[in-house]
Amino acid sequence: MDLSYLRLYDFRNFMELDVSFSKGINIFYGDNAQGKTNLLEAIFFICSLKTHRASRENELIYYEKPLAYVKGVFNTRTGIVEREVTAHQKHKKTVKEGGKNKTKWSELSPDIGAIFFSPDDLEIIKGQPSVRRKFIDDILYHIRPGYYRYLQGYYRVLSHRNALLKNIKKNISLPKMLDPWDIQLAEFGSQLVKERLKLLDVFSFLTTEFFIKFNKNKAILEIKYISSVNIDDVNSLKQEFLKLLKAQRNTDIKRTYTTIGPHRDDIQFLINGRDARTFGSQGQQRLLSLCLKFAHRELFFKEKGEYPILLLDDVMSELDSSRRKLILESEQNQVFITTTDLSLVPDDILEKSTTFYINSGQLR
Amino acid sequence: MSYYAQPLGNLIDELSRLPGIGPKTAQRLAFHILKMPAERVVKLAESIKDAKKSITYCSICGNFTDKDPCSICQAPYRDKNTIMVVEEPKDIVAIEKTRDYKGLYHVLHGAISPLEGIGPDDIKIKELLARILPDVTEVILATNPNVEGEATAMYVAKLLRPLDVKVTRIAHGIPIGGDLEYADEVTLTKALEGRREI
Repeated sequence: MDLSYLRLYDFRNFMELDVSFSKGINIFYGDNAQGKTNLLEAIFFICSLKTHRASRENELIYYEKPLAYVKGVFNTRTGIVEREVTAHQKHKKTVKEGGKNKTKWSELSPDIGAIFFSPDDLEIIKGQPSVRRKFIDDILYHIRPGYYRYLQGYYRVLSHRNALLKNIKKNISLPKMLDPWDIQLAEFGSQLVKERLKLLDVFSFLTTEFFIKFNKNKAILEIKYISSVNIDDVNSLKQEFLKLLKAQRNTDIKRTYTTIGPHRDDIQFLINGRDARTFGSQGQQRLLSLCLKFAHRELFFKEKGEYPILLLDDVMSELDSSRRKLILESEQNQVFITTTDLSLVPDDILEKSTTFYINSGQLR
Repeated sequence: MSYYAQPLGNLIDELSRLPGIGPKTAQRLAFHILKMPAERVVKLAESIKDAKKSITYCSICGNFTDKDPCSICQAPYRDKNTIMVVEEPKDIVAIEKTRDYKGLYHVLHGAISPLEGIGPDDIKIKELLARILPDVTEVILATNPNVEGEATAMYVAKLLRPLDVKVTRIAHGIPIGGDLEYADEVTLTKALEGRREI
């Protein structure tokens, strides 16, 4: 799958733009604050119908304009797909495919997708556990249709339980009122953990492959799911969770929140047996976050049979020259890269790339 | 400043307080009412007033009724040994439409919801327990299949357990005429748990 043509109208700092891309590596270069990342964001938006960096849709609109329009023409294995997305100031985005309005995302071409790597993704390694949970929850959300329901159910039960814990501490409710919530929390929670473990199984394998490939000195990578619940036996997760909830009940009442469960679990990355979060060098952490994105892309391919578009924001300045070459030399699919300096791109990569110079919302 | 004459504004305001009625629909309904013949309008107003005045809760089951006890609780042909527990009176209507259920009902008027501050004492659980006499053989818990309804069912079931009565929960599963392929996994898991021999 590749994006052959893009049109933007009043999108971020682009008033109007028409551009055709190559099937291989496309490089956007130019000074800071000219719109390179905005262009990647437009591509991400048309592919995944989501905004990157958690911004709201109306932030995509050019200053004081009513709407932002993005059109993409894709080559997929089922033929040419023409998709249009409009972000509005006041209401939700509208999506068209083949000129027809679509309200159900399930009716859209399933092959189109994009993976965004930005320097901020270092947070997946360095940041709070919630960033890592969100990272795998987002992946599961796409590949496991039922996962969102479990997640929703889990958090609904969790807020009820926490509200009840406050009432119990204030002597408004009795501790035995927790029983029905504990059972439901264990039911949803064990499903969440089960799905996460299953994903990490495949995911750590894929990530390790890239980590070995991009790392010349052979480092061993291990990805571990850290849970307060005993996860040794997947089949007894629910009982283990329930047992722990019972054991923690008094602590939970004292603290008035639920102290254990998948909402507090974490994922640990071990490089040569040491936690990358605290002991990894900045370079190792950067490389690892990049490997996670490459693994995500591989997973997308395993699920859909097509590679999503890879968007690499400012990846060149972060890596040494040999790795800049390593990550792209065997690239077979469409990639978009931003850089401030073309000389950072290895010569043999530059040779097979198409370059675009970006200057204040204009493309040359 | 209001675009409407005061009485019309009042009518729109009152209508828009109803569930499912937004300002646009309220305005449409109000204009429609003004166009209706006077006697129809009086009839509408009277029927609203009448319904509110004459409909009360059944003192036994908690359903809406104009005579107490309600027609279901009084009906001689209904099976007095079975009680179905529901959250709202409108759930009774849904079950009655099946014409398959011949037992009695009990309306809880809500579900346990700590977030909204609704505890077991705020819904009609005590009234249910008082109804479990020796001739009652089965209690069917038909609260909604969401987390609040589920918690309520579990709580009530626990209270009923010592009372020597069969307690059942309605099945969760695949809708008739639905496709397995389109069912979400939560539903499928529940359906699998509740499978039975044929």
